[in-house]
Amino acid sequence: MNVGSKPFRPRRGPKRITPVGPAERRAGYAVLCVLLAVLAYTLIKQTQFNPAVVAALREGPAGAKKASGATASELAPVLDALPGVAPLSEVESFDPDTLSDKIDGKAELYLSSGFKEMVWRAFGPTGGDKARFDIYVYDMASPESAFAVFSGQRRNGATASGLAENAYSTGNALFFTAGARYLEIVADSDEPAVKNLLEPLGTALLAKLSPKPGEQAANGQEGEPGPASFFPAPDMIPGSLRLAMSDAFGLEGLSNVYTADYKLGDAEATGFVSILPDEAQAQTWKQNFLKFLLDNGYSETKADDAPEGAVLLESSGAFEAVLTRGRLLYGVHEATSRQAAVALAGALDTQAREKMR
Amino acid sequence: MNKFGETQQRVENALTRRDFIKRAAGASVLALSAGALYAGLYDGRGPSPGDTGKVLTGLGDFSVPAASGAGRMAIVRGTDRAAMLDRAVAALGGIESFIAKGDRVLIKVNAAFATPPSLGATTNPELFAAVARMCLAAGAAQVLVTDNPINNPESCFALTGIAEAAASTGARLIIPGEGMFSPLTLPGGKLLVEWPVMAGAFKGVTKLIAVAPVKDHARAGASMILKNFYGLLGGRRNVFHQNIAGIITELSLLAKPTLCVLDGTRVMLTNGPTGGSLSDLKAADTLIVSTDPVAADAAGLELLERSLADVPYIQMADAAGAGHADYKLLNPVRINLGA
Repeated sequence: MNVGSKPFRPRRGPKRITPVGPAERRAGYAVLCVLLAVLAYTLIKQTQFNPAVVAALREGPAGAKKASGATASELAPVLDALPGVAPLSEVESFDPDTLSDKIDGKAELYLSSGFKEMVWRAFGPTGGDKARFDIYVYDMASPESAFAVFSGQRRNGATASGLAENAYSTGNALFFTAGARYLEIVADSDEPAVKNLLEPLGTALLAKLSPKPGEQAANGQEGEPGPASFFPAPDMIPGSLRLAMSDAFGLEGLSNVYTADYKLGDAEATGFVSILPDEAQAQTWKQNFLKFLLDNGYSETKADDAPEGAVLLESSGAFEAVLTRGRLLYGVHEATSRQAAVALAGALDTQAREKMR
Repeated sequence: MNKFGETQQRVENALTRRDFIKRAAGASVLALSAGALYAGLYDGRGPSPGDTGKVLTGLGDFSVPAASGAGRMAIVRGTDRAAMLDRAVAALGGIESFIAKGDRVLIKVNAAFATPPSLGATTNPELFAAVARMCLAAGAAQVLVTDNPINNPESCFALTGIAEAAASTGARLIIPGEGMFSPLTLPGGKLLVEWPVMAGAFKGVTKLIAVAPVKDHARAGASMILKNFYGLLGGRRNVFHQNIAGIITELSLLAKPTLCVLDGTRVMLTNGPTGGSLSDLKAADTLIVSTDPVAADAAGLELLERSLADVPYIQMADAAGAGHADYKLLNPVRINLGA
């Protein structure tokens, strides 16, 4: 091609399309290769966790570091005046970024359950006694979130309290939910004089915490039956109802699973129930859970005497049963005998048939 | 197409010099602009978490060779912490085997929460005081005590009773301040990369003693001696909660302690690390003293009624060379002082 000659150019007509020459093609490939190399480098660098960078990005610009315990909270007035006690500290408020500053590794339990804010304040008795009360008010995303953190920490052998639907006390502390709030009143001793102040403090706090608009209790909701109602009452260990908001049984993504513990003769077992958005998702999570169990050393065993559709698995004397009905995923977790697993699976299935009718 | 048509087509498709120069210039301008943008925005160092001075690689090796014939671990049953400590240290060759005259001893306690000793979430102040007195009696020139609770350190030291115990024994309490933190990159570490650690508390220190309670930990599985070193970290350290076993493993290589005192007199079995209810605690009536932090934690696991599989960082620390997950290899001396 004689590039030096003056080319013929038509005066009018469609825009010409110049074919790509070998040099241009090579240059184009070279540019693409460079871009691919940059992309690969970026992806590799992004997989290398640099905590310093993560922390710096979370803190924002220099000087903008959030003060741990800073108070600018609408919830703070809840911890103003309380009967029988006087403040020993200012109110401190913690958000999702600063919660671990106050409660360290416990923060993850709250963060994975819809935590929004926590306010804390210490009090002492007005009588001059040396006791101390630490009051924590956690504002959660919903009553279910509050129930999840309440039930996830429930102490064995605690005494049920009549203060609220979800409330119990131990020797030195009172734990309860109020709508989407979870509260802890922790005293530094179990002396009777100190313990006697717990319930009045709880009552006063409950009176201050008006329900949020549209807020309902975690269980017994209107409309369709709540997950808790799917658990058969016989043999259930009182106060054992729990809610895992996320990653139930260690399976990533399995969320909103209610569990309750059962004592069946000498054996123990945990029943579980989760209401999924639709039947297809219930089936999907059934398969995911079964795969998870098989990957973790369980093997399928005969389920002739189990409810129809139940899959029964066993590993080192621990039994699991998994079923679905409509959009309900339910079953038995860590039963200590096959008989207990089958019996509880049957009772859950009967309950599910009745409720889903 | 006839011959004339083909010729005309070729001529129409030909790239002129002007076109080529235009296109090449355009491409060059684009490439240069992208390069300039990259050069302008690129920060090769990334955001610095703290002081940008010298980057440390560790906090030091404070271990001492075992005395001839002495053990490296003692497990004492009893309820009187000070008496249990005396017997345990005696079984390891006596405090003089570890603390020499003129030593400057740093005691790393767990004072992470502003909670009273009765709740068992922090180092027991009486045990700390017993360790401090023991060091001073052995001729230590100074005993220092510290931790880095993120939220209100003064309040944490006061409420836990550590401040009062320090004052009563003559130990000097080090309250963490911004100037005490220096960036540290652990050789081979993936997490401790230019991360601020409380190196200022180690200035002039010749011996390091870790004193911690045995606790459940919601994230890590257990909080004992190794997890106690988490309190040497500064910055927004909660980012490490996503890889808690990894960070504790790296912390096990941060410093080699002289002695580890693990308090299992009352163990927080549930709802750790904060607890809150006295019902979270259980009397296990055991004190573990060892030169090996990994072995101490491994023995402590039994008090928590857990296995090595439940708390992965112990075996990871063993694999990293920080100590022995099979604590029985140390032939622990077992002493029973009774209730």
